[in-house]
Amino acid sequence: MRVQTRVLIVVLLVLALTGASALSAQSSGALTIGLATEPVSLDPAKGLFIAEQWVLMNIYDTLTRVDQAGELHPGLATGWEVNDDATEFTFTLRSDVTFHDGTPFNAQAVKAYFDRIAEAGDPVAIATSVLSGYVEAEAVDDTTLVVRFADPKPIFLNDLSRPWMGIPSPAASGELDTNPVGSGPFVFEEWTPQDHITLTRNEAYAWGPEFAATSGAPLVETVTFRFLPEGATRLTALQSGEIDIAEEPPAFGVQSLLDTGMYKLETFPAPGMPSHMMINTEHSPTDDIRVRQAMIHAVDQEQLVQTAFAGLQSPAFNVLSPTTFGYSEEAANLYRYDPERAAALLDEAGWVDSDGDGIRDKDGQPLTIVYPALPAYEEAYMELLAAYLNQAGIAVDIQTMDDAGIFEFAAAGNHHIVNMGWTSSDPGVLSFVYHSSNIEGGSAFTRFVDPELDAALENAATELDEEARAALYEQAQMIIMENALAIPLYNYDRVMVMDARVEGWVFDPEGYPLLSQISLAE
Amino acid sequence: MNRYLVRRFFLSLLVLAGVSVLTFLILHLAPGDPVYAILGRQAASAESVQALRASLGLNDPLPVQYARFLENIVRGDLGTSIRTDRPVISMIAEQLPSTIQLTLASMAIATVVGLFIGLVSALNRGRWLDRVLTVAIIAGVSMPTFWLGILLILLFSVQLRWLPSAAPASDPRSLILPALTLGLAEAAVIARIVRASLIDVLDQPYLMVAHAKGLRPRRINWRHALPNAMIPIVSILGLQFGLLLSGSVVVEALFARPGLGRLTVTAINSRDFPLIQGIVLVIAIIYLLVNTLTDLLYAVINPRVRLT
Repeated sequence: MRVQTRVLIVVLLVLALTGASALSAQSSGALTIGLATEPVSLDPAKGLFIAEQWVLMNIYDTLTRVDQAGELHPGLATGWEVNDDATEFTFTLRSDVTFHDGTPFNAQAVKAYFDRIAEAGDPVAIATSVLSGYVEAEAVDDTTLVVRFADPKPIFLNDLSRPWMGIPSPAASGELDTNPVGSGPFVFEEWTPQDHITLTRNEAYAWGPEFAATSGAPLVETVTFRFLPEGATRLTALQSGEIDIAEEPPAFGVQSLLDTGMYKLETFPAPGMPSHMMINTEHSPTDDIRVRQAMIHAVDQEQLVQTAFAGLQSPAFNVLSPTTFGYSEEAANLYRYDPERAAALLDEAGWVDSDGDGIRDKDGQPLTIVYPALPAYEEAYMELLAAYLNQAGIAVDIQTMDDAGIFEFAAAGNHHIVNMGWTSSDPGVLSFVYHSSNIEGGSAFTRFVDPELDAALENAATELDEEARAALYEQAQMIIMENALAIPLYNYDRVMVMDARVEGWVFDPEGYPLLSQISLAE
Repeated sequence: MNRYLVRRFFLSLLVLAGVSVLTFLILHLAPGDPVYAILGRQAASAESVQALRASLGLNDPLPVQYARFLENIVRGDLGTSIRTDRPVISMIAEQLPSTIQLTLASMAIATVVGLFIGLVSALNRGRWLDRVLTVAIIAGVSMPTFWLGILLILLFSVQLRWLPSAAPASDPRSLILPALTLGLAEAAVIARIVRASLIDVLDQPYLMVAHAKGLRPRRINWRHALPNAMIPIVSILGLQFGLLLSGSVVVEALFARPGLGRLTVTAINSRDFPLIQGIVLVIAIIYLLVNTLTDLLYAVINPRVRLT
């Protein structure tokens, strides 16, 4: 028997030692990034997801570019003219650009792409919404393009800088899903589903952003995106040197890594709508504005981000994040954590704890709100949020369900609070969730109807003057917060932890790094 | 034997038909509209919801959708993924080899380690070695694979830096830790059954006779006890194969390994109906095949089964 015991030990050791060579050190020219999710398609016309943005922005170039401060810069278009009602855009295009397959870039290529988006009319794709109201594009000559719309498009030039509007090679349009061809800083190499995507440096690249340190070929030779769905795995892969950058690390694993001095953190407050709870104004008890106001005062966002996210996300106090165009400081200052104020408001609304059970009641009915939650997204804070409301004497009925279940539940108006948030470089997304036309079948889960709010959102979408546009969005935020339609929670700060060797980090306006600027120190 | 085969075949077909009906119904009866899941958590306008539903054929009555589903299966067409717009059959074909590889590797580890520990434990019944191994077995059975996986990563990838935690599939070393994680957990289950089965056999009167005849213990153990103890183990191995397939869901995500398990999670999260149905169907077929094989093998090593 003793022999067999020894054999067992040897077997286990051999199993553990197989392939026990040291992990090979990465050459400095290869950058590896661990992503939480995988792209679905690399055709920009179909793009929708975060993971796609990472890849698309490196393969394709856009007609315009926006720097981190939100300033518009030339891209593949060196200049443009816009008519007075912003329905006709005349672009002057670069003549020195070639796609990765050798096809020259010209006005016909842009027209072909725009026509394809408009024809496909994919209801989900972001490109479709950017081109809404598209009438035609006219290639006057190789370097002159005119684009016409039926309605004013005040944010078209900004929208053109988004990765979904990257121009693909017209010679490759059939198979872009899995074999994308653009003119960007990196050339698509391969995609092994559920494993990785590899890009290689475009040696001929010379038309990068003018506001970046280098507008020429990227500093690293290859970029590999690895798909690591588990946060814990992204951190251990970073520690073992298998990846250089980990996206969205688990908040509570990051600090110990940073303490070693071998890693660093980059964060960017994403523009758009922060994570917030939309409050249903249709049903009792949240049809009473005092109850809604009390709920906002009951939540301590500063503490919440510390407890739930180890401080890696910043507290939100408004329905737009501070980096969004038209952000209203005034609206953000309307509410702060104030339990006394919350109690006074609830007393005033007639909700008092008459039976001493800690939950307020009125006419024999306890003050209870229904909260459909998706643990996969909301686990970090949902119990905490409920606890804050509990402290104010509000009982919270958390009903966990899946994503589609929540959407249906809330679309039917069965909720009192439901989570919402949307990263976007433009405040126009407010319309999707606060315009009353989206109550039935859409996402206007507050079910709040106010002609003034609707008008502000509609006018903002077509207003040509930047200042007037900002003012309209500020007005919309004030109406939303004054009517206490939302409990802001935290901003979606993009968080990335990386090897200290990663240099030259610059975020684009939506919170993605410009990979062409990055190098790896020895 | 032939009649046994024919009967097994028709039973399998029946099970498959049941699987297809159930998959189809469960998905459609679950709360939530697939359109919302596709559009995502993020806001969708009422208009885009309607347009998408119509374009996916989700407005047709359920029986019509099911008939279309069956018709396509018979033609070997598992449909097109809603999420990626690619044929389901090729998405599965792409991922299947990786999962089969993982399953077979873990099965090999589970069988070798499990048999070994079970044997050592049973033959040392009641002694300290048996007690130590029993504790190890209980720990192995109770420890979630997710946790075991993280411990192995921390030891072999982060501390010792011997093995990659999430290497690309092209790196052969990427198989080792996932296979160990799944294999060791299953080894514990097999060890427990081997131990119990062998102890059972060792108590049989015919072994007492063998001892009385003066046979050497080694010959008794290997020639008389073990073959009889193997009978329940063979059927357990078939079942384990199914468990390993499902275990791949957790392990593939943890080690960022391509495979059917990870594809399943993605498909379920995005309510990609055709893909979920396709995966369930393919896994059901594999499971049926393996268990039919196990049953046949069982008949070979245990003559008593052939009579029925």
